[in-house]
This record gives sequence, C-alpha cells and structure tokens, in this order.
Amino acid sequence: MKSIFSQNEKRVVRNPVAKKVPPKRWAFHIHQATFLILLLVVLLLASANIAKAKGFFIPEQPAPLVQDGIIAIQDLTLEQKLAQMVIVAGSTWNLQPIRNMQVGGIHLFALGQEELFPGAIQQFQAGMAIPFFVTVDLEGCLNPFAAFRLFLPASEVETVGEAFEKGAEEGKYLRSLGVTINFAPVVDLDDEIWKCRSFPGDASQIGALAEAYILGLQNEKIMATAKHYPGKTLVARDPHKFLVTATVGASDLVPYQEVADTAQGIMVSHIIVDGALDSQGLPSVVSPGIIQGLPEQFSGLVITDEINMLGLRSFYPTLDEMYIAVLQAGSDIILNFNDDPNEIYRMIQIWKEAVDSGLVSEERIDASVRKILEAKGLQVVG
Amino acid sequence: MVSVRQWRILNVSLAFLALLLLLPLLGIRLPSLGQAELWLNPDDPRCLAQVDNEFSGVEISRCCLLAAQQLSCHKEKSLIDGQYYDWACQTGQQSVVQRLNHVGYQYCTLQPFWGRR
Repeated sequence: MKSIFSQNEKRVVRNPVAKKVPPKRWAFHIHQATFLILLLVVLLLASANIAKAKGFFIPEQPAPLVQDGIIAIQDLTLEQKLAQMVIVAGSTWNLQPIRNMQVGGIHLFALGQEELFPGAIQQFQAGMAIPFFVTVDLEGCLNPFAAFRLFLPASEVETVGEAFEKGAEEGKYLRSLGVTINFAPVVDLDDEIWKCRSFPGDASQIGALAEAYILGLQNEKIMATAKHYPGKTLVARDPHKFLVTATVGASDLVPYQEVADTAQGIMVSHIIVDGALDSQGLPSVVSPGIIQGLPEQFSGLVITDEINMLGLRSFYPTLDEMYIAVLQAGSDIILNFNDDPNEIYRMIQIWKEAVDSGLVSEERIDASVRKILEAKGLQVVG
Repeated sequence: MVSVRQWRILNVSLAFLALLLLLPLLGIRLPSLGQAELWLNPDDPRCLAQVDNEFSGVEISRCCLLAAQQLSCHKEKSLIDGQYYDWACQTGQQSVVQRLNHVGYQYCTLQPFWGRR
C-alpha cells in the first residue's frame, strides 16, 4: 500500500513526538544572559569611572634620590622635571594622585579652621623626597585665613617700617603653618576695583613699600611674589570681556624694577599689553617677549597666573595648544588649579611630547627645574 | 515574570548606559546639564567685588577664581545698582565678598578650578 505521505512529508513527520524547546524559551534565555553580561559591563565601567575620577590610573613616579640635601638633575625623569614646574590646587581629595605625580607645589584655598592648614600640609608633605611648595594668596585684603585671623590690608600701610612689619608678621604666621610661598605683594598701580589690594602712593612709593614688605616676608623664609606683571590688572574694565587688553606705561613697571633684586618670585598675568611693553597681541603669560622683558636683575622664579582663567583659555582653540604655549613662553612655574588630577597628568604628558618632539628644549626645562629645586633648599648637581 | 519585550528594553537601556560610561574613559566629554542650562539662559553672568560698602564690577573669570578660593558661597539676594545678585562668596565676616547673579554662580561652578563645595 502506498503511503499517503510524500517523501518530503515523511521527513517532516519522521519523529513527530521528539521534544523541542519552543523558540520563545530560547529567546528568553538569551535576553537573560545578555542582561547579566551588560549589567556586569556597566558595573565594571562605573567602577573604572570612579577609579579614574579619583586618579587611580595616574602612575606613581619613582622616588627621586636626594642625599643630604643634594640631588642630581639627571636622576630625574623628564616627567618628574616637568611635574616640578606645576603648582596645583591642594585639595585633599586629590592627595594620592598629586603625591604620585610629584608636582612642584600645592596651593591652599580658604579653610574654616586654623588647624586644618598644617593638617593638610603634613598629609601632602609626609615622606616626599622633594618637598612641595605650599602657596597661598595672603594679601591682607584677600585673606584665606579670614575666618579666624585678620591682617592689615596693603592699602592701609603708610610707611616702609609698617610694610616691613606686615611682611614679617605674615611671614612668621605662614611659616608656622608650613606655607613656603605667598603670592603677594600686589604691586599694580591704581586699584580701582578692590581699593585695598595695592599699597598707596605713586609708582615709586609703591615700589618702596613693596620692597620693605618683601624683605620682612622673606626674612621669615617665605618666598614673596610680586604681581601681576606687567601691571594694570586692578583697573576696572568691561566685566563681560574675557580677553583683557591694556596699555602699560613706564610707571607701571617701576615697582617691578624696585623689587627685582629682592623678590624671589614674579607672577605674570594674562593681560594683552602694548605701550611700554608689547606682548604682540598675546596674553602676557604666553609672550616670550614679556617674560624675557622682566628686569635684568631679577633672578627668581617666574610664575604664571592661574591658566584656566578665560583671559588665557579663550585665546586658544584647544587646551593642548594653550599648555604648549605656556611652556614655550619661558615661565618657571605654571599654576593649574584644575580640580581633575587626570587633566594635570594629561598636561604633563603633552609637555613631555613637546619636549620629545623638539618644540621645547630640555635645557630650558632643566634651567627652570634647577631654580625650583634650589628654591626648595636643595643643592643641585649635574 | 519579565516578558521578552521587557528584557529587550532593559538590555537596550543597559547598552546605552554602558556607552555613556565608556565615553569618559576614552577622553570624550559630553556637555553637562549645567552647561545646557547656562547656554539656554539669556541673562549675562555678573560679578561684583564688595569691600565694606563699596562695589566694583569684576571680570567674570577672575571673579570665579576668587570666589572658588573663598571658604563658602551661600544664597543671599541683594539689589545693587539696579541689578539683582543671588549668591555671596566670602571667607570671614570682615573679608571681601564676591557677589554673583544666578547665571554667574552657575558659570563659576562649571570652571575647572571650582572644586567641591
């Protein structure tokens, strides 16, 4: 008897009672497995993001060899040398990455209690072969200790004696906390904005008072920083404009000439200047002409104003170009208060590439680092 | 019991979340909601430096750096020279006060040096 089924139909119905998992159940299992894998991936990526935010991926530099206060500059890697040229915001939540990078210094903002300052400083300095610079902005009128200690504003100083006493008092206090550099005095003329940050009088009087203050401060082993070169930063202007331009007169430079052989630091601003000095359309801090135009008798550290302010940042299309320009211009120390330690690390890597590619000479880096290490009290050989 | 459709939605959402978490690790930054809000606000960021009872306009970027260095900022509405300011940043009762309008304060919080408060 012929079968009622064709050959094809026989193949299909060969094993009609075989157990098969319905297609819907397979899809269910695949989606479950995918969910678990994606959940694991998300958890891993979230952990990686948290670790990155805390700076865990920033490698620790090898401990530099310092013996009896002597260091050989060739014993430092290029990365270590470049890191010495940076002062960052001394946020304790970035403590480990800052210590790992071995940057040159930390800047402290206002804190609510006096004991928090030495506490934070000790955390940063503990065990460091090359100590950090510890910097503050104590001008009198601007004062990070104002929650518990007041100081005389510069505008109220009348005599050279008072200026020296102000410097000595502030220096003694800063040294007791562990601070090593004060970004003061302001020697700009014509404080139209705050009316309290600068010393009173004409250019020559301001220069004399500033010099006395610097002597008092540095007598207490605190480095003074005359700012903001080449002047005109306290003059009221359109607050909506980020790029600031000004015409600098010969009188603006007088205080800097007065303090040049005394001050251990000068801070350069972002102002675009012409007149007695010409920055060629560039912010002063990236103008080699301005940096090289500092008084001849000045042999201290050239320090930039904070580089994330728009007066500089908006001049460049990218951060990378800005970082390289700042390094090329010739300052010894760059202030970068970016709160993300990964960005500080990235800046150092960009600088390293610039040196490796010949855009910036390593001799220029060595010259700045030598000055920095000597300012930290180390004897530099090599 | 989660249906297949619901699993699909969950998985697509997780995949999107994974992508958002991967981008920062590759160095790609997305604009934040704060930046979007700032861009949409037509008001200008404004800052005044107050010393005793005198007020002077300060370039906003410099103002933000000075405000970031103060101990704290708190909401304090004030009308000065016909304009409202919403925030005051200072360290002590007798110190300089940086006064910012709301847009100015938002702008400052987006600066790289603002830190955690």
